[in-house]
Amino acid sequence: MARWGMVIDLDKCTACQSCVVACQVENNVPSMTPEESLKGRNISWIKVVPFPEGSFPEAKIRFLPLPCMHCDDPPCVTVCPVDATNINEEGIVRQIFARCIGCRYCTTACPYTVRYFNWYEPIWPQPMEQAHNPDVSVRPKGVVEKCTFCHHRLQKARANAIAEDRAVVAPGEYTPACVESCGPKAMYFGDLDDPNSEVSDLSRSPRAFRLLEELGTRPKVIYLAEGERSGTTG
Amino acid sequence: MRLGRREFITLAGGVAGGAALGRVSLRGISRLNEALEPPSALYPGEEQWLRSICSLCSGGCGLKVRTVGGRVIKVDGNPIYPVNRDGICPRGQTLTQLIYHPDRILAPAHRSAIDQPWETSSWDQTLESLASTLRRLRGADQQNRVLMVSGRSRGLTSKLCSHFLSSYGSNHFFELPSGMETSQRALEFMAGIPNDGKAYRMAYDLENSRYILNFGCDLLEGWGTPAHTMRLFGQWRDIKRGRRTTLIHFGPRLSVTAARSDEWVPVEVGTLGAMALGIAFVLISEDLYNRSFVESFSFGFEDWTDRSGQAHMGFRRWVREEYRLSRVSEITGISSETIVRIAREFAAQPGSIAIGPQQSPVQPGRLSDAMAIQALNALVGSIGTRGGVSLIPEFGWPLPVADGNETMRTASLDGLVAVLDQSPEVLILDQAAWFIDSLDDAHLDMLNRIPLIVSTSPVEDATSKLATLLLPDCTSLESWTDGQSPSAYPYDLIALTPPVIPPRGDSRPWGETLLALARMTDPALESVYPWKDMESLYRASANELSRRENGYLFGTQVDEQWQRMLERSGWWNPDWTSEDEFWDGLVNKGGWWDPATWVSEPQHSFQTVSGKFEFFSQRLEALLREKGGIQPGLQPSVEWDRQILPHHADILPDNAPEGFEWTLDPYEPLVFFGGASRQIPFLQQITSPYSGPRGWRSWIEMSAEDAHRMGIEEDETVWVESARSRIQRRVRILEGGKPGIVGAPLGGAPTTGRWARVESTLAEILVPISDPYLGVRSHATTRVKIYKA
Repeated sequence: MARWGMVIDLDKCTACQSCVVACQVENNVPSMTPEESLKGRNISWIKVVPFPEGSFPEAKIRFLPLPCMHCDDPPCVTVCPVDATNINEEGIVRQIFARCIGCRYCTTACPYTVRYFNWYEPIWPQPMEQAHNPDVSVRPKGVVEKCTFCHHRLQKARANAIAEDRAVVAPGEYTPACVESCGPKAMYFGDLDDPNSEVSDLSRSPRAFRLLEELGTRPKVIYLAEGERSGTTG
Repeated sequence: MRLGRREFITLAGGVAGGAALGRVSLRGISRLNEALEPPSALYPGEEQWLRSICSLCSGGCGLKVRTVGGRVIKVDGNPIYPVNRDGICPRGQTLTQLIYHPDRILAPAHRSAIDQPWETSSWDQTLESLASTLRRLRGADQQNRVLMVSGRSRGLTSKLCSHFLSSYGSNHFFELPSGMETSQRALEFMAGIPNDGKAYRMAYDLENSRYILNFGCDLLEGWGTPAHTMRLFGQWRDIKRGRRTTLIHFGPRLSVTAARSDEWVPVEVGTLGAMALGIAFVLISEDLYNRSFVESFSFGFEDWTDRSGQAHMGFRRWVREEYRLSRVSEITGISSETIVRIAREFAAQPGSIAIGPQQSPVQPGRLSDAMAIQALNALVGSIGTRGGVSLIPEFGWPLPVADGNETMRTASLDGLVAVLDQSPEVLILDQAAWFIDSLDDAHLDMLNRIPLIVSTSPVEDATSKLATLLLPDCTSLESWTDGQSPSAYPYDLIALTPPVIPPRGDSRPWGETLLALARMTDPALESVYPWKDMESLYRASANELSRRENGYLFGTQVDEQWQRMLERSGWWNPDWTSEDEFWDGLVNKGGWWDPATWVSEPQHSFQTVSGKFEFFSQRLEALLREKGGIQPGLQPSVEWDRQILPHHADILPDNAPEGFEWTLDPYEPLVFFGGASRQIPFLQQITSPYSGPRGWRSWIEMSAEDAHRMGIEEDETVWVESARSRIQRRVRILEGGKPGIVGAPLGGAPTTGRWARVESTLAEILVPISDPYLGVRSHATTRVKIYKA
């Protein structure tokens, strides 16, 4: 059984936010009206977060693409009263929209703030809904949504594997949209339990770290710190 | 369609009846199929993966498009397209929102004035109204009152535009600057270009560069081809590739490139040339320059005497006397230690390159700065080498016409504005929202006086807002689309893809509209442009290309390595043997390229007066003599050499008027680069990776230090006032930004359509600064004061 995980090399990230848009297009995330946008209600299952450090001239800004961490010990799952969010045997933290009652305990419990509540019925000005991905359901008002590691792509890959009489999904056969779109190839995806996979190799790199590890959430999104040559000149 | 019991019986009865009569009614069966088809949510239709090319900037990245039931669902990078190989920038991703935009223009339309409602009309009618105007002007011998401004600077449609204009008789074709013009001009002056009538372009072999001095280029924002630069950036830092490529960024603004480079050197505004010469000083003083290149293949490095016996100062003495570290440090605000360290690193290895200066339509940059930067490339011998810079023949889709002359292309905003003064009658705006972004209100008033403005925009934008005639183009996914080597790309490349979906509504590819317009304007042009549509034109053009004896059809990276190996051994194994095979291969593989275009040999012969690389450009001297009215024999003042040699000149006066303590630096953010993306909601939501305003508004970027001192909060609205005017903007606060510097993006909220918002343009407050030698605008950095609104 695979344990899916992602590695993001911060050294290579150009902060272009291609991953952000790729995710929105793939997962039928509605774009907000300007009014809602300005209130900070944009939904983006993955967002690029700036981390400024120091002041001029010794300043540095790091950019961190932030999807759901798909924690092995997810705080959101513990608090959900209706099992609308749970972790499956392959380590993907799922969100089952039909069960969600909109209590938002999970959005509060998530230390990474990557869960989004649908305050309104999504708006798709005609004919923008033509571009909807038929593999992903459109969420109604009143439910929480978040990154699913493009779980629907895993289902498709698995269906292909079964059709071809293979027991497992081949490496590279299942890739989330954000990883696929990454221009500088800063994102990697695969089975963390497979010792030969690129992600498990990179996750053992001395540069590897996880966000808020001290909380014991055991995230499966692993970051690689920036290279040695980084600095500002005074 | 859901099927009720009654309808089923009716339909089934029809079919059964037909079958009983011995011939099945086709219509009956298709209606039955339609009726039995499950609701679209359960069966959305057949899934297909098709190839296309992005048209949202001049880069033209290869795309892999997923369609389901004939609808475009997702756009990704094409893994066998050499420019971007898989990756794609966020703009390309939003093509779905452009295709299905609620404000798409789906039929030709006209209106009597810009405050009148639109009336849709047929293509024939609309084209005839334009063609009759063109005929009238031609009859009166006033062809030059027709102007075209285009955002497509590359590809066959762009060639068709300029050729059509020249065969009609107008000289006024303006295209979007590629952002490399000034650097290229500098290189042409110093390294020369062959006088063979061919077009040349400047290219960088950044894939193989090991140490990059970046003089202000926003590599990760509005520069070159974003997806290509991003791919390179990933390669520079790929641990599997071995040694890391170091990127040093010089520039006052804390851009994304500055933040992501290995080292940001925050020089003062307008001092890039001085910085380059400071580095040259160290290279020369410490004897770190490439002696074999400089001694054998350069001119003007040492003091020299011309034919009239006049002594001239050499570059070596010039730099050692004028650009001592203490002076450069004072000009640029950067410590001598830093300059020495960077210069030593720069000279320490092969594959070093200096690129820049940054250019945008409103700031083409200064020739003297660009020459100082190119001088650095000569000092380390990086002209033509692996990882270096070179001028290579421009290669692209040939227009298969007998007389291939095109109207001269101009990419100067100043040139365009000068023509606007000559009461033009017809202005055709083709993908030209970038142009409107560069204009202030006075210029827009000039546009409003033009009787007929035509917009080809597929979606409501700044050009359709000004227009009285709409000839809506479709997006690149709805038509035959071509690609060609983007600016600064080191290889020859052409690409072609068929439509992914049919044009939406009654929109038409602009190339086809032009062919029709040409025929309607003058039936004689039928023989010049005999093609009925773009596909047949591409076919004719591809036939010419098939006669080339180099290059390969697109393939995987493994193919690429194999082909390079073949070429190194002097082999070429063609992928085609006939025109038909070439065409089939082109369409199936998506394109042709030559991975061996870049010779990777140090350049030793130069097409200059001296036949060498000229630190003292004799061509520039001749040009300046001509401009200054100086006779060839006469000797100008002793100050003369100073103007020719690469030098630094202040762009802003030393003493700022009271209160105008900030310097505003306009730039092109990734999402608005090249104009035209203001209407796309997904892009408005990601305008900048920095924190602050969440899109749909224009903003300025202030350093945290300045903002705290002024008591200005994030997202607050402020006035930005220059000597010309004042505008309102929201504030993004940059932790770590350089105090005194204010970044201001070109682009912002949509100006028309359902999400339109009235905002003053940035151009309103910009004060253009001229290049003293070329006489055209070089900068638009402007002194401003900022206060709470």
